[in-house]
Amino acid sequence: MKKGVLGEGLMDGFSIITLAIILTVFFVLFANEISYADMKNISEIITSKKVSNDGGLTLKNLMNTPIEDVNLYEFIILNQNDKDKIKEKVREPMNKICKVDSKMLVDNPQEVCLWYLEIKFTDKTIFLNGGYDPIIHSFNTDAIVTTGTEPKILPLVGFDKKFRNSLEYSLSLPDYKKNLVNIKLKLFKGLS
Amino acid sequence: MKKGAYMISGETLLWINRILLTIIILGAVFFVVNSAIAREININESIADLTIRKLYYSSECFALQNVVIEPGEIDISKFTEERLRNCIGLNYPIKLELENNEKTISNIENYRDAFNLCQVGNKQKQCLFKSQQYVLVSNNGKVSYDILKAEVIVQ
Repeated sequence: MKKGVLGEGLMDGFSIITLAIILTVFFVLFANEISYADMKNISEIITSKKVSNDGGLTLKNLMNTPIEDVNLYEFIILNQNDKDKIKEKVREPMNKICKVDSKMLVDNPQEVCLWYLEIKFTDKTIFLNGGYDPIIHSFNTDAIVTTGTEPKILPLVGFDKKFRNSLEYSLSLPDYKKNLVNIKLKLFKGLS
Repeated sequence: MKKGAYMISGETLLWINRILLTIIILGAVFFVVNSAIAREININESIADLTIRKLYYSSECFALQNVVIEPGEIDISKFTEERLRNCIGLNYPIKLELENNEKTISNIENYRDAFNLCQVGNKQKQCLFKSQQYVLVSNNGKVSYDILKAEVIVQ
């Protein structure tokens, strides 16, 4: 009887030590902010993810791009009633930033990039988009529809691709009447 | 009972189980802690990204400075290999290309060798990082647009 009591006492001691060790481990892990996701596959190298957003530099530079003795932003304000003229001027620099063609869709889908530019005036909104208009078809990739505010992928049988990286930049700038113009640029990069 | 026979009591069996259980728990705890401590942290991609950003954000590198610094606007007169070496140093081999201006510079003479060496081990551990940024280029006050293509090798 005495032995039994001693054994139970020792077991309590073991339990407490074990519990203390477990709690210490969890405290150390949480204090180091190691997430469960990291612990789940601990053999996997924990990598830093590159900050893919450039802080709006692309949109700022785009709006400052010189066009016919003014910058693109002023050109847009001056020609806000002529969407085709704006489209023509925007396409050239945008093709440098973001491009897509049917060959790229097949050979190099991770380099594919589509864009959507929205310029919101107080009385109207101009939408422009890049890539194929209105529908991209490719021999062995999904169909991409670019008519909406952002491109949509219509999966074909056996394919289910998504854009790996979607970026959105926005700027608010005053026009000549000191009304704010809201500009939004969306980039959809890389099919996977 | 035969002479010399060994008898395991019920209580001894219970203790063997308890000790085994404790060893297993301690082993598991040790494994988790050791894995967490010995994990490899790879920040090469961030180093490459920040190095490239410095090129067009800092006036020490190529950013235009007209009273204030113009981030993202490159002063073409600054776009030289000497300035690149002074700005970034020689730790990370870099190759830069201004597509429209057709200018290519590098901070080291044998960039191609560093590139080839990196390519050998790039599948196991990524060391080559590429980036493209839409920039404005100022040439004596005349501004045009361009694409800055950058390649950085971080081993």
